[in-house]
Amino acid sequence: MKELPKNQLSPKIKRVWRLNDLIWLTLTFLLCAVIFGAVYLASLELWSLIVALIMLALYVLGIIIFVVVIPPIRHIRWRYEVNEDFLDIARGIIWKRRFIIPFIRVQHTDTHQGPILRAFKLSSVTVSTAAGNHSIPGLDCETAEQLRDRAAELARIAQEDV
Amino acid sequence: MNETPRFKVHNSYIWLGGLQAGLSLLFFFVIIYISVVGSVAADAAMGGNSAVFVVVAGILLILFLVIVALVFLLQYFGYKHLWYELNDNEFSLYSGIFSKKRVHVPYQRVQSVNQRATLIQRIAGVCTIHIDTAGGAQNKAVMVPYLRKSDAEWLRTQLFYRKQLINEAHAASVAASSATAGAAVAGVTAVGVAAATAGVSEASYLPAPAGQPVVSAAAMPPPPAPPPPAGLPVQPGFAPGAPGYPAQPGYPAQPGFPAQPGFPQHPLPGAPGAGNVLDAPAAAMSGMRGAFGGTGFDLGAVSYTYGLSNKQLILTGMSNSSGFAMIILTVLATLISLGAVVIQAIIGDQFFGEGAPPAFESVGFMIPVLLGGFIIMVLFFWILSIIGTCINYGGYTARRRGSRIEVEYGIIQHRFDGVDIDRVQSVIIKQSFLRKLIGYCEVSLGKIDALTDVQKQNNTQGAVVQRGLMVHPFVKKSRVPEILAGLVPEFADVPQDVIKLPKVSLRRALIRRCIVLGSGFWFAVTVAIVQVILNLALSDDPDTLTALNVIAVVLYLICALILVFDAIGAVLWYRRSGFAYNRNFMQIANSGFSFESVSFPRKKIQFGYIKSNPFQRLSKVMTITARTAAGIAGTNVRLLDVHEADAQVWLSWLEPRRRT
Repeated sequence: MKELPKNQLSPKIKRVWRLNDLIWLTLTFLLCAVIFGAVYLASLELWSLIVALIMLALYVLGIIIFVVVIPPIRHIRWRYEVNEDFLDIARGIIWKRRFIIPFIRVQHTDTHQGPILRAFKLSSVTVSTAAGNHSIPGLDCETAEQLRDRAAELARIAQEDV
Repeated sequence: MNETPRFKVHNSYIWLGGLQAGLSLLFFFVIIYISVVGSVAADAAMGGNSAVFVVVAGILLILFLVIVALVFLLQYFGYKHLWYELNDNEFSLYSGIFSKKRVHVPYQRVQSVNQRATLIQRIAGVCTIHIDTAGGAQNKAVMVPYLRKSDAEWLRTQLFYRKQLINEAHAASVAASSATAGAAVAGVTAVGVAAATAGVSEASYLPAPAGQPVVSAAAMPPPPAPPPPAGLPVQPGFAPGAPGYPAQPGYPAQPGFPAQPGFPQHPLPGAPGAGNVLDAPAAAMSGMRGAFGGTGFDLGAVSYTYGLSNKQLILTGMSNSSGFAMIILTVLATLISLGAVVIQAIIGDQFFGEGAPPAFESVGFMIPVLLGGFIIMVLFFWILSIIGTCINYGGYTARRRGSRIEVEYGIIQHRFDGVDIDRVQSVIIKQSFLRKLIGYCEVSLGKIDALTDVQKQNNTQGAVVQRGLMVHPFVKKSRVPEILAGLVPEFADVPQDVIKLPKVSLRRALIRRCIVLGSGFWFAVTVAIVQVILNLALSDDPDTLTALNVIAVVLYLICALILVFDAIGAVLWYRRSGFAYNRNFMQIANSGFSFESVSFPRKKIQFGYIKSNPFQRLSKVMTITARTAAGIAGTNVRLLDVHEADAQVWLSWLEPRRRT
């Protein structure tokens, strides 16, 4: 059995994932629940209250799963390694995947920083091949820069032809 | 003007394009005309004013003429503003009357150059060229309409040769830079050799315009073949006449290539098969260069070519997918009508006892008649589709010309596809169920496909775009290696030691195909649920219930049949699927009722991955996926349930090897 790649993402990424998931969960919940809450307040019909409560339960369940349970596991499973001439990524909780991306196939690399990532002083690196992209989220800005430069340097010897 | 020359498309862009638009407009107008004028005329006949009739007819006619004139005017200005240029590094197409549009395609990005011509265009001797490119997120095709046939051939050769020149220059500079680190003397010789080859190719293919990278790479030693002076990029040997057309037809025959007049036909080295009846008209059609086609010129040596034999052509038509659908339809119709007769015999007796009404009896007689009519109709359409396929593939020729693979076919609508061997991503061998039974298959090459803007719009409406390049629509499977060795010898070294699937895959395949994805199983479940509900709901109507339960039993039988087919498919998949790889190539075969095998070189794998879900981990199997850039946005070549250890070894094989 091939051993797993060495490097892990920055631990701060867990907070980014939590925040990210919390935001969309809350937004979806508010959008749906507010309607039924309003219906209940206006008409005092029991069924709308029940629906709203079910939604609340789903919301709490979602928070437990996506904010408490998943991020640490995801962080443990997300591994990468920059080898001499290929990028090795292993990730996934239920569907475990292991990618090998030769640098000579990489056409360009770039770093990306969204508002949440920036707040945590992280950034993500994306490597693009002729048939799809791979991004490594949540690296310290410095590591990300290094990784990108490394990948770009190795990719330069790539044949541009596909 | 010391810029690169502007090449215009043929002037049939104006009148032929206008004519085509005009014809569709005419159709539209005739309908309006008939309805409007008809109603007015009817009004007039009823005693109304006949002057109104004349006025309305006149106005409509004038309107039509004005619009047609406008169309022609638009085409005219469109023509005025449509040209292309061949620069040192890129092909540029300029278009647009009001909003100017320019497309630049670096020669290195050219994937394939394809020609299309409709019947009218063929008569006129013009065609449309699609230049497929790859790069960035979206592959794009550039379309150059209404090119003279000779211009199209010229453009195609130019694109490929210029790309080759740039690649040689690139190789030379790489060689130079790698060599300077070591020994300077070796560096100089490398450059010298590169310059010599570049010079030779310049002399034999075409003189490169000044400023070509070749020259800069070969700057240190004096180039053997000096480029023409700057500011005069028009190739010498071009007849200076015909302003606007830098005279492609007068192109000199290249030294080093045996002159072959026009399009060589079949009797060439390695041509298997005897040709077919449609070859003669097809040859006549492609020999006919049309009114403005211009004379053909030498395109380079053909090293291998083949066509289709009569038998292959007809069988292609008979075994195509519509043929299969027809057979299924016929069988289904027969089964259904037989079932109807049987059910009628059972239920009819039950319902009506001895005294079945005569009308019912006559329906029973009607069924065979209807069935016969239906089968005749199906046969008719089937024959139509066979004829259609034959015409479509008539004049099929595939050939290897230098580093290019060219395929052309079609009697009425002519297609010509050319792709460089470097651009071929994979070789795909496919067998549909019918063809598998008779041991024939179709061979195609995977390449990077691209869409024009128009196709992109159409594609959102569900149009099917042909993918890859079909190099043989119908060939005996045992002859495939021979054809590949002739057409794409680079792919001849396919791996032989097939790694089979582990035993546990069979169990998993049975579960997956029969139950999880088994349409028969889920259909049966649905039927069962509906049956239970109906039985509960109609418990006070035993007669209807009996009938319903009989139908349910028939449905269960169908489900069981589907289940059996699924199971057979799973076993076939397990026994014939597998993957293989050697130093440079990889092959993945997926079998079943149909068969597909894809082989591709290692250097065309963009990336690969292994994937497992919890059940697969329990059974110690994994899914392997290699991703190539073929198709429009890449293609996954995948094999399910490979043994874990095999998958891990394969993954290590994917890692780039250290240079030794």
